[in-house]
Amino acid sequence: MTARERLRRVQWLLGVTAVLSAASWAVTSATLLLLLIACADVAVPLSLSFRRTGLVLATLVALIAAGVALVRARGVSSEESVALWLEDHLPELRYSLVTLLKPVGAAEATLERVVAGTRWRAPLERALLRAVGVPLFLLAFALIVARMLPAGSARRALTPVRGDVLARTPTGARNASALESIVARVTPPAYSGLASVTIEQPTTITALAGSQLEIEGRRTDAPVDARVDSQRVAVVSDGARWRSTLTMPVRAEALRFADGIRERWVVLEPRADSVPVVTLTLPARDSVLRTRAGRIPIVAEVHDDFGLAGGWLELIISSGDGEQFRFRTLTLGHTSGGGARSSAIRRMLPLDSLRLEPGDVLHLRAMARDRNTVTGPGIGSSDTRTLRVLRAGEGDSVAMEGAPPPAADSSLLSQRMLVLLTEALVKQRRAMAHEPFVNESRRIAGDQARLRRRVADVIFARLGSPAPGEEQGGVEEERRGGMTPEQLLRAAEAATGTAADKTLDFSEDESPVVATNRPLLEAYQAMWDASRSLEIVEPERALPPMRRALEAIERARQVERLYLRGRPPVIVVDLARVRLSGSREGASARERTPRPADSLAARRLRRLERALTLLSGAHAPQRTAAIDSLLLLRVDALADAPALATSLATAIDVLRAGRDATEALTSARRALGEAPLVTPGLSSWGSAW
Amino acid sequence: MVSEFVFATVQYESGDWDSAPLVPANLIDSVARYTSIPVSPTGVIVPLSSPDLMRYPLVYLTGHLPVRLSDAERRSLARYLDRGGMLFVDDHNHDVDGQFHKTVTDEIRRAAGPLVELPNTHPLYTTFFHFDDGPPTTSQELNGWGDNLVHRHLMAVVRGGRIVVLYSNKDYSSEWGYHPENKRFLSVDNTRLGVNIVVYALTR
Repeated sequence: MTARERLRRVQWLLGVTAVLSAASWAVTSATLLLLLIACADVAVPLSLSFRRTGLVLATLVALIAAGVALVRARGVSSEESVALWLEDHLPELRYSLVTLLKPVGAAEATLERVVAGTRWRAPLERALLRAVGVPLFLLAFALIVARMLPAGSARRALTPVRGDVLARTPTGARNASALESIVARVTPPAYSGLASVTIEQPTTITALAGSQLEIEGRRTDAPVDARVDSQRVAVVSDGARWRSTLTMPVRAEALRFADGIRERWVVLEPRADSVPVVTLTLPARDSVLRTRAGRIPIVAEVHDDFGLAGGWLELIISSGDGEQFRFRTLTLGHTSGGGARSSAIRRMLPLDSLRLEPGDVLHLRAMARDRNTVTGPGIGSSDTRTLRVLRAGEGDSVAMEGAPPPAADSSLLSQRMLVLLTEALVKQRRAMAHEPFVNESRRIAGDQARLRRRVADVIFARLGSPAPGEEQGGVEEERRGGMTPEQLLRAAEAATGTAADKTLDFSEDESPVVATNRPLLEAYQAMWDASRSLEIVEPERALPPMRRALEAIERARQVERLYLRGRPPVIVVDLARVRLSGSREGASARERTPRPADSLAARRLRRLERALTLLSGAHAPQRTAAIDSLLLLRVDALADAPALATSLATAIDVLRAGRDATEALTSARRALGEAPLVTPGLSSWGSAW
Repeated sequence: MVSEFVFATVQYESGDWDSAPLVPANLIDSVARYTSIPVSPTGVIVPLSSPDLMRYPLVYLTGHLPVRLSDAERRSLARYLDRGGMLFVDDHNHDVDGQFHKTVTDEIRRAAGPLVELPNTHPLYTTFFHFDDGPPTTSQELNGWGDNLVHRHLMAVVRGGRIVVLYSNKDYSSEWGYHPENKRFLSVDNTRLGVNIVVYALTR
């Protein structure tokens, strides 16, 4: 083997040594850092995030240490450097090896003999020992110290995971409570597809109703008792742990643990699986069908929070009237949800196939079922659309029921006839003599006045008051006639302020009577204008208001179709006569004073104040009791007072962390309050001080 | 100030809520005739989704056709019952399996919870008049209309020992559906249970 070949072999060996050195230093430095974290964790429990950060730091330190070692050994990449390193450690080479790296001609054989005569093993062994031995020694020291730490400490530093609080041996464990540290594992129902969650030191467990809860802690000599609302929950011991398994209830509950040393409360806050939300988009509104043939498109949109199992359409067909009804129920359009969160149900509904009869009512809605196999399935439904088939001749009727317009009086001419007569009179004006023309105009004016009185009868009979002007004529009639439609309308609204009408909330605070009368009032006013023009023999000027009156009457007919349906007769019981205590006129109903607001908020306020009194105590047990009281109050509030529950949750967390909870408790106090009082008479700015 | 009791009939968007227009006047007449409760001489109609619902301690709901409440109606009803109101529902079809029965019981279950049989010894039957055999039988049951059954019990949703929803498929809406002036032709007033319902709603 020539000197160059030996040199290359040494270079390879030194490279391997450098790599081993870098690896050793990396492992050792990371181990030392983790050992430091483990020791600190023994003294003071370190949080999961801190320990995870330590793990990242240890990796960084290892990389840096390895990098430094490799940089320091960078000389092994050069033959000249390795040769000089050998010359440095083997003086007997007398620079023969360095010289041989250059062309030396005839002296090469002599130099080869010098190099061949030296042994290189000793410096190589020393280099290897120095490069790897020191870090390995430190590593061994670290491992010995780690072995001396309490059980679980090294594992908490090396593999920090949520829930490893139970792996840490508490200091002063002699009289420790089994409830000092607890861990909850939540496994949601399989259908939800949610992952399991581990919670350390839980005060509240929020999970889907039906989730499996496994709560465990360190086992001690004292047995652990667990109860939900006084019902005992099984607790089993398993080695060094105790474990309690239960299912997340449907309603919020408080889980109480006790072991004779201390007690601990955990709020079980269920999250409900919402039923599918179904929206029937087509048909968009209730309708009346004139025919029983054709096809109706039905479209429904369905959404669910965890996935749909299926959807369908439900039809109920009711036939008959009065006391005799028959029903048929059909389901159709079944679709599979396939676990999707959104879906649609589309169907064309052939009316022919339903064998509908006149007067039948079709009640249609869409329904959907979710995949909840634990607390469900949840079934959601859309609003119901009602499609009614017209009865024969029903469309010809002006009024459906309730208060039909008065029967036609054969002695009266209709407004349409009066318009035709006036138009004819205007056309004949040039051909007629003055006196017959005046007489004819005033005759039409008289007919117009009679028709106006009939309209007034309809209006004021509905308003519940007589039409004095029309009955008495003369001055009162003039006064009523001089009103604008708006004034008349205001008078009508004032006259309809009865309790029964107020209760019926029609469009924009308008009672149905006023809504019905509005076009009739317009007609009434227009007839006044027409009468005046006809009386002074100006039939041309009378025609526009006469046509307005005709148009308003037409609108009144339509209004009656819309608003008069379903008004039952009003019967006023003569209470005084029934009670044999004198007479009493039918008075407007006064509603019973609403019951005072329930005292639930007041009771909760008292509980909060008791907890605050406890909280102000100087002793730790009082503070713990106060926090438990707030926890139980939160359980009570979860169902119907979410704002209060949220404020209390914040307050509890803050109190447990030992910080000032004034803000959160103030928020809770505010959530318990009633709506702010508005004091009349003070402006918003003026009352600011 | 002593407020009058106002008999309120519930108006809902689907179905024929106005199928028994004479019942309110008849019950008002009975309440006035047998009790000293201050009572309004006329009833009112209150939409189920209206906030005005909260003004009345007892509301009456009936009909023949399927009852499908809107979300607003369902929320309003749940809130009304939570705040201490009482709902009296009567199936005008006198059916056990009719569409009114199916749909309205489904809506009650969603808004208030499941209905259970009300025992015939319940205080409702002794609150004012005494009904030793439970709810009085109606002529609609006896003459074989409807489901040909004489229903032994009323149904109810009970919270904290108090009825919040009273459900009948005995068809009192037909039985009580006549003008109060005609009550004089009856040997025994058949609306007495209505008085018990009103008194119970006002005192429990």
